[in-house]
Amino acid sequence: MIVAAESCDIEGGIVCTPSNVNELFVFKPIFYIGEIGISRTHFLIIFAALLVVIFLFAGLRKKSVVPSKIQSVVESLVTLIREDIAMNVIGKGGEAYVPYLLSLFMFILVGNLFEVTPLINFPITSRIAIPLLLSLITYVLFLVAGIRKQGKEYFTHLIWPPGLPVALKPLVGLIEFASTLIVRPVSLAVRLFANLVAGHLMLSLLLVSGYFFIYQNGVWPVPGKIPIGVAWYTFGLAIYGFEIVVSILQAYIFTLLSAVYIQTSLHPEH
Amino acid sequence: MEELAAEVVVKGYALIGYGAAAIGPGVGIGIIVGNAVQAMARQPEAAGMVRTTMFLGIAFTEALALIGFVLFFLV
Amino acid sequence: MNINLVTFLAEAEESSSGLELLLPATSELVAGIFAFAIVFFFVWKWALPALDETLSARSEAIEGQISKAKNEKYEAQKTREDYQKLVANADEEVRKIIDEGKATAEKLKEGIVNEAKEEAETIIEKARADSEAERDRISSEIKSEVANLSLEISEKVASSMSKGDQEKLINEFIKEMGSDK
Repeated sequence: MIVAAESCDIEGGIVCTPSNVNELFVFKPIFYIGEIGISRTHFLIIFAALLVVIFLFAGLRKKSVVPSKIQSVVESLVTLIREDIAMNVIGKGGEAYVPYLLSLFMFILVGNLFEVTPLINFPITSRIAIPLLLSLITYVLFLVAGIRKQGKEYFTHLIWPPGLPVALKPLVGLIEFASTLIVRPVSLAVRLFANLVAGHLMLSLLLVSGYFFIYQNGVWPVPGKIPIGVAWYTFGLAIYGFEIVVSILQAYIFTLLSAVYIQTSLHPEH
Repeated sequence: MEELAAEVVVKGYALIGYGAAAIGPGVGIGIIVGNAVQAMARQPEAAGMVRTTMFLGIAFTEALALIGFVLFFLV
Repeated sequence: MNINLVTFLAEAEESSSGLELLLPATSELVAGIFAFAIVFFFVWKWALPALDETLSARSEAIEGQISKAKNEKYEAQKTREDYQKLVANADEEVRKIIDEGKATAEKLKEGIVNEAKEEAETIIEKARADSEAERDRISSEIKSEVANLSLEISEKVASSMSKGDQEKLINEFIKEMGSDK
């Protein structure tokens, strides 16, 4: 975006348009390992993991009987995952998935909150690689869980729920096959990815356009433009608050849906 | 130049398509949340369960709008 | 407007299209796998066991406190019961003492009253006896006086009277005396 701003020519009447959405999501490589450019994104991905580790470590280091502030936050987060998601949704056999669900939730949460963290302002989950990776892990996990629990019957149950009339089998089979094996992982990944892309787009466009209306890249603008810029900026700040909610909610929903998918593999009768 | 113009037209159609794709999920999410609020008001003790189910419903419905959003970038 | 579109599209032509946004970059995928592996192993091997330890320690501590509180409550109840018993005993004792006191007082009272009555009776008796004796003494004195007087009178009268009259008079007199008595 900043690159686009530098390239725009106000005197020539060219409005600053980002040439492409990629400009908001792809950073210039800092250095190269062989052919692969290592950019800020890669560092942020590792940094997110380290932040999760540091946060959990800080919360659980002191095993005091009366919890400190950070400890009670960590404990309530773990309780949320363990009781509300693992136990309530998966039910029997849910305890085994608590480590996965917890790390999933924490990693996505930190990755999402990078969107609204000052000086970072870039959600790593808006790079399709991260949601896709996590959704594939969930995909493999629930398939393996289903096969281990039900054997070969898992796939028949998957496509034809028990007690289905024969006449409906082809249609339902096709729908269920597509919805379970294709739509599930894709929608899981795309939901997180698209939410964060949309959020990042909105935030950068609103805040940066507000900035340009007020300051206009070093050239003081016509005074009449300033109210427009202020309005944009205010609206952008409102969206900023909304994005915090979206970040938390999307992390929760991703974890919840992973749990639901695992649950349908473990208990097909529901 | 004509190629560029054609691409602009395609982009315009894609935008319209995304707008159309957002209508259905918008209505759907509204219905889901409205009914969830009603359910919570009628049975506050079941609020936790209703909320979880509501988020699930929203997530499934929202996926349609988001797929439209992603397809906009695809063209 | 036209210029804007041209620049926009020209730039779009230069850089890759929006499709690139939807294709995962291999390097990011690798970084993601690495990062998620770190998080997962940390959570699996350290965080959850540590949390379980903390929670079980806490529940143990709470249980200990609860049982301690229960013990204390039991002790307090026991002490209270003891005190209540003591107080009840004290009440009884007080009542007993009062009863005893009352009984003693009653006894004393009766004794005193009886004694007083007896004394009074003896006094009365004595007084009666005294008065009786006095009366007897007085009456005998009077009698003797009367006898003397009558003797004197009779001597005086007798000297001036016939013998018949004398006798008659004496008899009358004696009769009178007898009825007088």
